[in-house]
Amino acid sequence: MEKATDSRNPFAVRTPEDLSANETLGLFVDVFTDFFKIREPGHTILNGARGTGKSMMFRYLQPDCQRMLRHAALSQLPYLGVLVSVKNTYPNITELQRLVDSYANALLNEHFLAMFVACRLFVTLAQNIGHLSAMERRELLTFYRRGFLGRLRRAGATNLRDGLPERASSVDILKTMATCCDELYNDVVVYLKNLSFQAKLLPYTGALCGYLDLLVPLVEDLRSLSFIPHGPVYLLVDDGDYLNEIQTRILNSWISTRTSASISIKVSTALNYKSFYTLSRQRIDSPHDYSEVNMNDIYTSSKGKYLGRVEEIVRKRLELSGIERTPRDFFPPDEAQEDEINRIGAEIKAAWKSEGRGHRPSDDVVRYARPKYIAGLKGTRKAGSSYSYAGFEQLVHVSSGVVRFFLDAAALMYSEEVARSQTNHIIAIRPTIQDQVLRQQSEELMFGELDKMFSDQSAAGSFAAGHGSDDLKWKLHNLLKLLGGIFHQKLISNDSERRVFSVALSDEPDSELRSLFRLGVRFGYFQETTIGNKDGTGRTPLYVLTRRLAPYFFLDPTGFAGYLFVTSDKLREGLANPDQALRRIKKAGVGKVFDEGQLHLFE
Amino acid sequence: MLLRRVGIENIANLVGHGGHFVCSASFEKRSLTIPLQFAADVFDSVVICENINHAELHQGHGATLRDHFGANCRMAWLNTDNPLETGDSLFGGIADLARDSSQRIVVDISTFTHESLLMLLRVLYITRQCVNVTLLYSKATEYSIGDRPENKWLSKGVGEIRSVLGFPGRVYPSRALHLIVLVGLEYQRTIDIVGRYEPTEISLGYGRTGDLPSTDDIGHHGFWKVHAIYEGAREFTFSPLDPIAARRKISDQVKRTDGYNVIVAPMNTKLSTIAAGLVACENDNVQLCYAKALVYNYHNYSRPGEEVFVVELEGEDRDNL
Repeated sequence: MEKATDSRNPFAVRTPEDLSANETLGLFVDVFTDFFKIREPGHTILNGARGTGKSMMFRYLQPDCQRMLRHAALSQLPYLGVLVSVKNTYPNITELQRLVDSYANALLNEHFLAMFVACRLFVTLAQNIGHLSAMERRELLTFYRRGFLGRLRRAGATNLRDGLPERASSVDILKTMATCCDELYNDVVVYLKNLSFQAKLLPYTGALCGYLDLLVPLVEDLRSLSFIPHGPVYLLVDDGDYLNEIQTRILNSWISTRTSASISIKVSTALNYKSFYTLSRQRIDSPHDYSEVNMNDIYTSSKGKYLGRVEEIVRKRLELSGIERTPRDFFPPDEAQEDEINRIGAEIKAAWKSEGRGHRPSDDVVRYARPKYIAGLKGTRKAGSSYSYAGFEQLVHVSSGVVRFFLDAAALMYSEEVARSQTNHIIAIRPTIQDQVLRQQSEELMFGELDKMFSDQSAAGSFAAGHGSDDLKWKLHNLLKLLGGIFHQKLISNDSERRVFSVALSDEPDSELRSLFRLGVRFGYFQETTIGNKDGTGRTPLYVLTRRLAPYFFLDPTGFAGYLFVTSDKLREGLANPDQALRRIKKAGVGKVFDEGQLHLFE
Repeated sequence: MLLRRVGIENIANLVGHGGHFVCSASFEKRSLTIPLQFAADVFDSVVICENINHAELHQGHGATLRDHFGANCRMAWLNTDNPLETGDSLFGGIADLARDSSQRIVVDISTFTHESLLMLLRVLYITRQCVNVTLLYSKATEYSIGDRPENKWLSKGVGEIRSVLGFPGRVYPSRALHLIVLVGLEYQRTIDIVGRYEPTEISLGYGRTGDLPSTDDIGHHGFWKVHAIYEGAREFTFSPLDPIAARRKISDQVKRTDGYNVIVAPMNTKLSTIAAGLVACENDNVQLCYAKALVYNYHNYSRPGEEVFVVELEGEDRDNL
C-alpha cells in the first residue's frame, strides 16, 4: 500500500546552507571515499561544475552535522568547519574596481576578506557552542577582551568599546564578535560607496586587518580554549570563483603560508577560479601548496559511480517525501521502445558467431542495439526524432555528471505530472513527460531561439562583423552543430564504434579554436579531460560534448562512448558552414572524412 | 511622484520648454521615438548616452540624434563591459547640470540598459535628491517581434552578475540572503540568477498589468518552471508600468525579511527598474544587482509604441514607503 505522499516536490532545489543538520544527514550521499582529501587537514581546491554537490559536501563538514553524526561535543570534533559562502556580489562589489592599480587594493581587500571570514567563524561558533560552564564562559569572555578586542584595536579599530556585561551568555559574546566584524566589514562598504562616482581615491581611516596578523592568531587563541576543537579550522570557501582577482590572489597567499595545521583552506570552484598566483606573484601549485580534487574527472571516468550516486540521492529524496518507489520505478522507460531494443539485441546476439565484432555477444548488444534502433526510426526530421529519452538510467546519462541537472529536470517533470494527474499522490513520472522535459531542456541549451537566429546567415553575419564576443558565440554554436551532427551520423552508421561523444585534436589548435573550446567548457557544453596523443608521446585535450544535448542531436546518451581524432583544419572548414559540412559527411561517411589523408570536408 | 500616460503626439506640448534633456541611443528604434518629438532648441542642453562598445549595432541612431539636436547636444559614452567607465561618464556628463535643482532634468529612460539607468538615477539622487526630474518612457507595442508568447525573448543566458555601481547595499556577512527578482521575459535567466546566489529567501515578482493574470504580462510565461525548481520561492506581483505602486510592492518585500541581506535584481520594465532604484536609494541596506546577458535579441527587440509614460519625481521622501 502506498504511503500518502508529501505535497512538496521531492526534487526542488534546497540550498545546502539552509538545510538543518538532520536534513543534511538524511540527504547526503557519502562521497568522501573519492574525495577523501577534503576532510583531511591541508589546503584543498575542489573543482566541479555548478550543481555537482560541492556545497552539500561543505555543509556536511559543518560542526552541527559532524556533532550529530559522531554523537560528540563540539570540543571533541577533529576540526571546526566554517562555511564561508561567497556570493556573486559580495564580498566582490563593483566599487572595489576603483582600487585596482593602487596600494589600497590589496590592503583593503584583505581586510574586507578577513572580516568576512572572521564574522563567519563567530557565527558558526555561536550556532554550535551549546551550554558552557561558568569557567568556560569566563575563558570566552577573556578571549573576547584580550584576544579579539585587543587585536582589532591594534589593527586600527580604536572605536571598539567593550559593552558586554560580565554576565553575558556565551552566545551573546560570540554574536557580539560577529557583529563587530559585520560593522568593520561595512565600514569598508561605506568607504567604497563614496567612491561610486569618484575616480580619485579618498583617505581611508578605518581598521586594516590581515590573515597573519589577525585571523591566524585569533584562530590559534580560539583553539586553545577548552571547549573548541583543537584540530584545525577548515575554512570552507564555497564558490571561490566569485571572488575578484585580487581577492583570489589574497586567498592564494593565505594558502601559500603553510598554516594548514591551524587553518586549512578548502576552496570550491565551478572551474572559473580567477588566478593561481599570490599577491607576490608566486604561483601556488598542487600538490606542493594544496591538494586538487576534480569532481568532473571522477564522474566522467569512473564507470558506474555517478549512476550509483544519483540513484542513492534520488532514493533518499523519494524516501524523505514518503514515496515508496525505487528511482527506476519512479522514472520508468518507454516499455515498447525497450522491448524493441531488447528484440534487436537478441538478434545481434544470435548473429554474433557469424557477424560479431566484439569479444563477447553482450559487447555487441551494448554497442549496437540502441544505435540500430535509433537508426531505424524514421521521424519527420531525421532518424531518431521519435526516440524516447525516458527511463532513470537515460535521465542520469543525459544529466552529464551534474546532479543538479538531473534534479532540475526531475523537478519540472514532477510538477508537470502533478498538473496532468491533478493529484499530489505521484508514484511515477510517465515516460512522455520525462522525454518532453529533456527535449525542451536540450533545445533551450542549444540556445533556443538563438539557434534559429544563428541559422539565418545574414543575422549571423551582422554578429560576426559587429561584435567580437558574439562572433565567438556564433562559431561556438556552429561547432556544436557540427560535432552534434557528426556524432549523429556516426551513431546511425555501420561503423564498429558508433557511440561517439568526444573529440580530440590531433594537432596544435590555433588560438581561436582554443578559445572556442574554452568558451564551450565555460558554458558547460563540453567537459575537458585528456587522453594520450596519437603518437604516444604525450597527452592531448579531449572535449566531451555534454550529454544534455543528446536529445537535440538524437544521440544515444547511455554508457561510455568513443572519441574521434580530428585536425584543426578540418574543424575550421566545418565551422564556416556546418550544414554544408554535414551534408558532405553524410554522403562520404564520418570515417572517410576523419581518417588521416582522406577527403576534406568540402571536396 | 506623479504618473501620467500621454500619446506620443502630445509629449512635446506636455514637456514644454527649458531644462536639460538626457536620452540614450541604442539598437532599438525606440531610442528615437521620444527625442525626435522635441525641436532641437527646446532644451538648454541635451546629453546623448551611447554604449561605445557596441555602437556599431545601433544602426546609426546615435548619429540621427546628434544631427537632430546639433550643437545643443553632447555625448556621454558608456560601456556595458566597464561599469566604472559608465559611471564616470554619466557623472561627468550630468552631475554639473543636475546640481542646480531649479533647472528641470528630463530623461528618456526607454532604451538605457537597466544598469546604466540605475547609475543615472543614483547620480540624480546624489546631486539633487531626484527633485525636479521628469522621466519619459516609450512603451513598446511588442517585444521580441513576431514570436509567440512562449517563445518571446530579449536576451539569453547570464554572464557576469555584478552589483550596480552606487548601490552596493549594506551587506552583513553574518546574515542570510533574501533575493528579490523582478522577473523579465526569460524564465531561464531567473533560474540562472537564483542558482548563482543560492539565497535563503527568494521573492519572485511578476509584472501584472491588470487585476487578473494575463499572457500579456511580462514574465508570466514559464513561471511554473521557476516555481517547480525553487518551490520555496514566494511570489508577488507588481505593476510594470506604475513605478509608484511598484516601489511600494518592492519595499514591502524588502521589509518582509528584517535582519536579512537584501539584493534586488530588476529584470522587468525600465519603469519597474526605476521603482527598484528608488527603494535602494531610500534604503541603504538594499543592494541592486545586474545580470549581464550572454546574447541580446538585437534584431527583433521591440516595436516602438504610441504611448508615453511620464513620471515626475519631486524628491522622494521616505514617508511614502
